Order: sequence, then structure tokens, then C-alpha cells
Amino acid sequence: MSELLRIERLSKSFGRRSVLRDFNLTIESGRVYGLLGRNGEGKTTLARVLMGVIPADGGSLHFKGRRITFGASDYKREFGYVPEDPFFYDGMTVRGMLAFNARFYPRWDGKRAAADLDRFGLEPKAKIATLSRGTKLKLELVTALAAAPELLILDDPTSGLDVPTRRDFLRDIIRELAASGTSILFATHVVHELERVVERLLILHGGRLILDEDFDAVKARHQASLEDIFVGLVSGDRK
Amino acid sequence: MIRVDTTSFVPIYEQIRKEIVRLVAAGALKPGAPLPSIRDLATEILVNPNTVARAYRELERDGLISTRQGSGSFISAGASPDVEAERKAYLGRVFDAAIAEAGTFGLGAEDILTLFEERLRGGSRGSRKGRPA
Amino acid sequence: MYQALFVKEWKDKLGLWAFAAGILVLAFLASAALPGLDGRRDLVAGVILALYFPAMGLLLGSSAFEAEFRNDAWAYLLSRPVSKRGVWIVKYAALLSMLAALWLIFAAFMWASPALRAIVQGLRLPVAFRAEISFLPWSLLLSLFFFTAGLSLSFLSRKGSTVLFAALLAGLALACVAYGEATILLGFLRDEWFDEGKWLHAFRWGLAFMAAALAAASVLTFSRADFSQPRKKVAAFVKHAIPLLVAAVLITAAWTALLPRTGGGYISLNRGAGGEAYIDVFPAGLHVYEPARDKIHRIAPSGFLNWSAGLSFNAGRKILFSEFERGKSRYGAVNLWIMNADGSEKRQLLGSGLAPGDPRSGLSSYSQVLSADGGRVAFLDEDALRKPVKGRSPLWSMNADGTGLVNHPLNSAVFENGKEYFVCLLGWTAGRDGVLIFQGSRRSGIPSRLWLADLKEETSRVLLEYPGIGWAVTFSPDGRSLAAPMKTMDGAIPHLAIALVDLASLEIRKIDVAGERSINRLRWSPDGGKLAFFVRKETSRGNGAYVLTIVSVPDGKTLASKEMTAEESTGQFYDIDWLRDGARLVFNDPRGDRCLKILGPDLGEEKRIPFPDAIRSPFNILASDDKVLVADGLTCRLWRLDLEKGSWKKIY
Repeated sequence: MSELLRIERLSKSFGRRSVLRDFNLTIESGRVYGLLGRNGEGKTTLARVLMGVIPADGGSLHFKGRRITFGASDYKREFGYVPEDPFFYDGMTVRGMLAFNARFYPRWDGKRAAADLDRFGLEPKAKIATLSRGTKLKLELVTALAAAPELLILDDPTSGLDVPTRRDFLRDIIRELAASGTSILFATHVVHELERVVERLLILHGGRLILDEDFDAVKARHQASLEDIFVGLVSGDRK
Repeated sequence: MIRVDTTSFVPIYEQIRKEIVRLVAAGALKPGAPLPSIRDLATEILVNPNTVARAYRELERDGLISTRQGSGSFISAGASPDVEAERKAYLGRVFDAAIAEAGTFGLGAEDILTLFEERLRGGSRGSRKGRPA
Repeated sequence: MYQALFVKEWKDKLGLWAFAAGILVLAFLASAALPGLDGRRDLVAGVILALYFPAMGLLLGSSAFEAEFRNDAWAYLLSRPVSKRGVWIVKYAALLSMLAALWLIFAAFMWASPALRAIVQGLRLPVAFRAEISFLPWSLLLSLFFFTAGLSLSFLSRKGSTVLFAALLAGLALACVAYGEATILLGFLRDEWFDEGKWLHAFRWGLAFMAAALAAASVLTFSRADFSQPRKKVAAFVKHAIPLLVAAVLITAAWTALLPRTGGGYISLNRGAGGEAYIDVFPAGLHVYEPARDKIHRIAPSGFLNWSAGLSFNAGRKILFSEFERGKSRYGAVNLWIMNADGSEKRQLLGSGLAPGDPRSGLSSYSQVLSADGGRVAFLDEDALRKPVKGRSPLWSMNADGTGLVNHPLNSAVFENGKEYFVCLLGWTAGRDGVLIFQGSRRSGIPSRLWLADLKEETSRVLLEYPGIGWAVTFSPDGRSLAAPMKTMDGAIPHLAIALVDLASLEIRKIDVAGERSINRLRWSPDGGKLAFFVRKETSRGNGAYVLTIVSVPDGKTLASKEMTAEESTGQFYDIDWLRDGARLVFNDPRGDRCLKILGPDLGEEKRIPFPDAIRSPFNILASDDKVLVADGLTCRLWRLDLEKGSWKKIY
């Protein structure tokens, strides 16, 4: 277990609303982190800042011990990202999108991507704009995994999807875990899905982590379901 | 075959471990029988492979299973003599839990015994056969 | 990886590009199909260059980030492992390549159609003397400018139309700023600049630097922008852009001020006593042409010669010249010098550089003449002309070695009324006791006068008086007479004549010339026996026609005359000179046929030699041996034509 990513004192505000403040997190390789947080409290913001989609207001980032700027392309080559709402270039086909991405990632595995497409039943020639939301998200996952990432960031990817699709997602993630021991940062508010895979539990509240602990230890200590633990920690002081 | 209950307070790896032990104890898994690979089991029951791995590790530590490189995991041949002991240990734990539970109602040892006999005689008609595996 | 982005850009915008290319092709096909409508072709080519390319530049640039705004694709792109700066640069490169592709189509049409090429290269807009806008390079510059403006702003708004209009407004506003800056700079630094050509430079560079500032602001903002907060993005851009634009304005000023004055100044040709060709180039200096070596060499540093320079050469093979000192005076020359015709024995006669106690150090000459034997110098003091000093007239004389400085307070009306007259010296009389002064009227209705100032008696009298402003007198090759064109009015009827003044006897003989408007380009034949000139006469069409005329000097008879064609008559910078055989003339036709024409004794056209394309505005010609020198006023260059071989060479 080596240190993959270390976030220190990250802060981000939108106008006067401060979403993340003094956020600290260390991600080790090969572990699954579950990030719980209420809607609108910063899970997506965190993912976006890490992926360089939006800039950070303050804080530092270390990748494998080396200081790095938020959104720098060298560490992003090792990351995969599935966002909450899929974004895409509407003119592209599924195949086109994969070909486009292939150029960006040094360990891109085209064969695996093709196999995954097959498994998910995605038609390569289909125009992305015509796909359903669930299918788009599957494509995002295929893309993310084909890059053989060291860290997979999943930002609430299954919310609003039907159960079979969610199961598909989970299964694919688990398969990936079994195959390559990728680290996963799994942000979600669908608690019961998290329980099956999470090793380290993170709870985001008030702009920072109020919990950062081994999941089994948390469960043993609180002797309650994850849902109860979560609700107990975050409710009551909603602004 | 193996099911986990995420709402339970018992850690998942422990649930898996216990299930396998129970299956061995019940004779559903005989010595030498192969276990699904970590990957296969994880994908099937949708849990973190690390969790499965940990369960397997503990079972191996207890000597219940053995892993051979490249061939996977198997129920140890030497597991059979311990089946009885495991059975006893398992059932013992079940009884301990029930006794503890009864204790919370304020039942003393004699009351527990009386209740137990009642259940054994009265509730046995339907329950013995139809016990779920 | 950036290759993938580059290709994606082309794929995204292929439709737009095809649309733009289609318009271009249609326009060309349409213009080719308009037969014989030369004016229209000009229009089409002009419109294409002036409007189409800048507009397409703006359109392509503004559409740069359009695809990214649909479906939040910007978030997709930015979450890939790319550097934001790299993304911006690739977009710029890709869209620029599209613009370049359109230019290539245009170039292909130009290459295929020589007619079109001629039209396009001829499209020029003169904005000032020696400063003109040629459509092709300006269209290129403006298309790049608006392209950069469009692209720089295109990530600021998701609405394409907003970006387009904002970029258009920004582009026009900045162009105005560049224009204003260039004009202001020219106003403040005119002494340093000396020509309007640099104003165009300043405008060009202003545009370029502003575009660069916008691009830099754009890259900086883009690299740090938060696309999820649009207003913050715009505010950040403005915050970056303003100081960069200010810097661009300052850099433009510094850069253009430091640019060498290429093409600044002017060039003029003069004939020396032995028939040599002297070339005065400002600011480079006075040069003489050596026909044997077919080269020019400089004999004196920068200066401009007094405009009535004829006699300054003839005298004893000496040259009197003035060295202009920048900053000292706007109008006149300072630092008068004298030297031998070959440039040796230079001696300063007036101006700073002489001993401070010497009265000559404080004088500056506005007009100066050398006597025929090279012994005496007369000059007009510029300061006294503008601010008359009691008891001291502007007229001075001294020996050619600087001794014997004498002021000549003539009691006369020569130097009065500086508002309505300007004065200059024309030359010494043969006996060295008088100086001819020309008093030219600045407006019509007031007659011009030729004065004789008697330096011995300190008196002056009018030799000739005539209405009209012309004062282009020329001296005969032997220096003994002077020819002046003049115009008198007999009631409402104008009469043209050439006055011949004998500098020894001061007798005046008039040769009448048929014509109504003016006499120009008076040229003595090498032996002094003939005069060639243009007469401008009225025509039924209302605009004047030029009649080239040769008269015999002894008896004033017209030897030959030829009316120039309408084409030849519209030329503004035509010139003539006698070939050294004294029998033929060479005529410069810069506009119509764009060639030199050799005319025989009867003024029939014997030969014509076309100008090379590189000569833009030929206005001065001088024959030297069997060669003809042509000065290009626009580029300030000197060309030499070898009459025998018909070959051209640029020698300066």
C-alpha cells in the first residue's frame, strides 16, 4: 500500500458559497474509498477539482509523493473518471469517442475497450447523442477502465439508473478491482451499494471530511447500519 | 450459494467466512471441493474482492481451506475431522447467542431450559424438515 | 494527442468551412463569368479582400469553442490529461489552418488567372504621400486580426452570436485605438518621422500587438478559468486583457519609433555641370552616378539641396549644399557646405559646428546660390525671413571660402509680405554683382515677380512680373542664361511664354507658347540650342491635355510638337529628359503604358521600354550617357535602364 494521492487543505468556493474548505485526504493504491455526502455538499466539486475540470481556490496536491498542480496532465493520465452527468461531444460516435481517448492515455487497451463494449451491448457506430443516460455512463466507464487507471473516480455514476444497470456497473467495477487492484474513489449517496465494496469510509460534511476510517472498524464501533451512521453524522445542521 | 447481508453489523468478510464454514459443517462442501475464485465469488455476490480475499485468508489460517498457485482454493482434506468440532463450535455459538438474548429478557437458566424444551417438543413438527439451508 | 484534437476540430467545423469555401468559389466563378466588366472585377476582388477574409476570420475564430459548450463537452475535454494551454494552442492552430486553407483557394485562383492577379496587385488605396494600403497584405492582416479577436473571446460565452458580436466590436474598437495611436504618434514625432509611410507601419504594428495581447489574455484566462462560473471567467479575462492591451499600445509606440525610416525622405535627380547625374537621397545623402562602374557613390552625408540647385552645380565644378540638422528647424536647411564636384575639400560655411564667436554659426540658409566662377555665395537667412530684424535683411553674401560675410539691406519690397509671397534665390548674374530673386505668390490673383538685386548699389528692381505661381526656372548648360515659364493674363485670356534671361546683359527675351494652362518640365538640350517642355492646354473635354513641344532657343521657333494621348495626359509624375545625343527625348509614362518612351526629333515614338513591376512610382528621370536613371518616389529607390540592352537594374 503506497501513497497514491495526497490532498491537503483543498478549498473551493462558488461566489460566496464555500463548498470545500480545508479538505484533506490521502488515497493509497489498491483500496476502495467510499465518499458519502449529502447532495450538493461537495462530492462532485471534489471530483471536478481533482480532474482539473474546474480550478481549486487553494490547497496542494501530491501524486506519489511529488508535488503537483491540480489538473496537471501527467497525473490525470493515471486516472479514470466517470461523472455524475455524462458530458460528451455530440457529433461523435461510440467508436470515435474511444479512438479520441486512445491518444491521451499511454496504457490504453483497445482490445479491452472493444470487449467491454460488447459485454455492455454498446453499438460502436451509435451516435453518442442518441444513447440513453445509462448507456452513456457505461461508455464513460468503459473509457475510464480502458485507460488502465491507477485511480478510478466515480462521481455518483449510478444515481437515477435502473437496478439492472446499476448491477452491471457494480459488477464491472468489481471485476476491475479483482483484475488490477485499481484504487477507487466512489462518491455516492446510494448507501447500500457502497457497503458491498467500500474499504475506507469517508464522510463529507461542511466542506471537509468528518470521517475517514476503516469501514469495518466504523461498523464495529457504531454497531449500526451504514445508512444510520451516515444520517446520524450529517443531519441536524443542514444550512 | 453465499449471501451477504449488508445491513448486518457483522463485517462482510466475517459473513463470508462463516457461511463457508457453515456449508462445510453442513456437508454441502466436502473436503477437496473447489471454491470459486476470489474474482468469481466477488463478481457473483457483488462484494469487494479484497473482502473475499480476506475471508479466504482467514479460512486458510484456520486450516479450513488451502490455496494452490494457479489452481485456486479448495476445502482442505484435513477439514473433515474438524467438521464435528466446527459443527459443535458453530451450534455452540448459535446457542450462546440465544442464551444471551434470553438473558436480556431477564430469564434465568431454569426458565431458559423450560422454554427450550417447549420449543423442541412443540415447534419441532414443522421446523426440522423445512429448515432452510 | 494534440493531433487528435487538431483532427477533431476539422471534423467539427468542416461544415462551416465548406460553406465559407463555397462562397469563395462562387464569387470567383461569378466574377469570371462577368465578361468585359473590368470595373466590376475590381469590385469583386476588392470586396472579397476587404470584407470576406476578415469576416471569415472572425467567424472561424468565434466558433472555436462552440462545440465545447454543447452538452458540457468542455468538462469532458478538460478532464482528459491535456494542458489547457495546449488545448488553446491546438484550437488556434487548427482553426488558423482552416483560414489558411481558404487563403490557399484564393491563391490557387490567383495563380490560375493572370488577369485576376493583375487586378489584385493593382488594388491599392493611397492614404498619404508615399503611404498606401495595398489590399492583399491588409486583407491578410485584418483576417488574422479578427480571427485572433474572435478566438480569444470565444470561450467566454456559450452563445455563438454573442461571441461573434463581441469580437466584432472588440476588433473594431481596437482597430480604432491602433489608428488613433498611429495618428497621435505621427503628430508628436513628425520631426523624427518625416513621412506618412511610418504612420501605416504604426497602424499595422498596433493591430498586430493588440491581437497578440488579446491572445495572451485569452490563454492566461483559459488556463485558470472556472467554466462553471461564467461571469468570473469574463471578469478574469477583462482583468488580464486591460494591462496587456495597454502594454501593446506602449510597445507599438516604442517599436515604431525605433523602426528605421525606410523609404522615408525623398529622392531627386539633378544634372551637374559636366552632365553628371547627382542623386540626392534624404536621409542617406548626396550621391553621384558613375556610368563606367554603373554604380552610385556617396559624396556628402544627408542633406537636401536647395531646390533651385541648377547654378549650384555649374559653377567651377563646385557644389554648394545644405546639411539638414534634425530638430533644429522644420522648414529650412542649416549647416551650409561647399565642396568640389567629386566630394573633396568639404568646407562648412554656415551653421553650428563653426566657432561660437563666428557670426556664421548663428545663420542658417533657406536658399543659397553659387556664382558661375565658384567664388561667391549668396544666401537667404531663414530666421530673418520669418522674423524680420530691423536694419538687417535676410540677404547675405560671402566668399566661397567663408570669408567676407556681408549683409545686404536692400530697400525694397522683396522681403515684405511673407504671408502672400515666398522668396528664393535663383542665381548670380554673370558679373557677380547681382543676384536674381524670385518672389512667388502663394495664391492666384497676385502676380509673381523676378527681381534683380544689385549688391554693389544695394538696390533692387523687378525684371519680370507675371501672374501665376510657377517658378520652375532652369539654367542653360553653359550657365549663361535662365529660362522661366510664365503666364500673363490679357483680360480673361491667358498667354503662356518662356522668358529667357541673359545673365550677363540682363536682357529678357520671350518665346510665346500656344496653350492656356501651364508650362511644365522645361528642359534645355545638352548644347543649349533647344528647349523641351510640356504645355497644358484646354480641350473640349474640359480637362487639360499635354502637348510636348520643342522650341529652338535662338529664334523661338517651334521645331516639333505632339499632343499626348488622354492616357498619357492623366499622368501626374511624367517627366522628360534629353538623351545625350541632343536629338532625342526620353519620356516617362508612369500610369498609362507604364514605360519609358524614346521619342525622335519629330517626337514620334521610336521605342518603348516597360517598367519592371517593382518600380512603383517613377517620377524623375535623368539621361546619363546611354543610360537612363529613374527615381521611384514611393519606395525611394533608384533604377538604371541600359538603353542598348534594354535591361533594368536597381542601383539604390
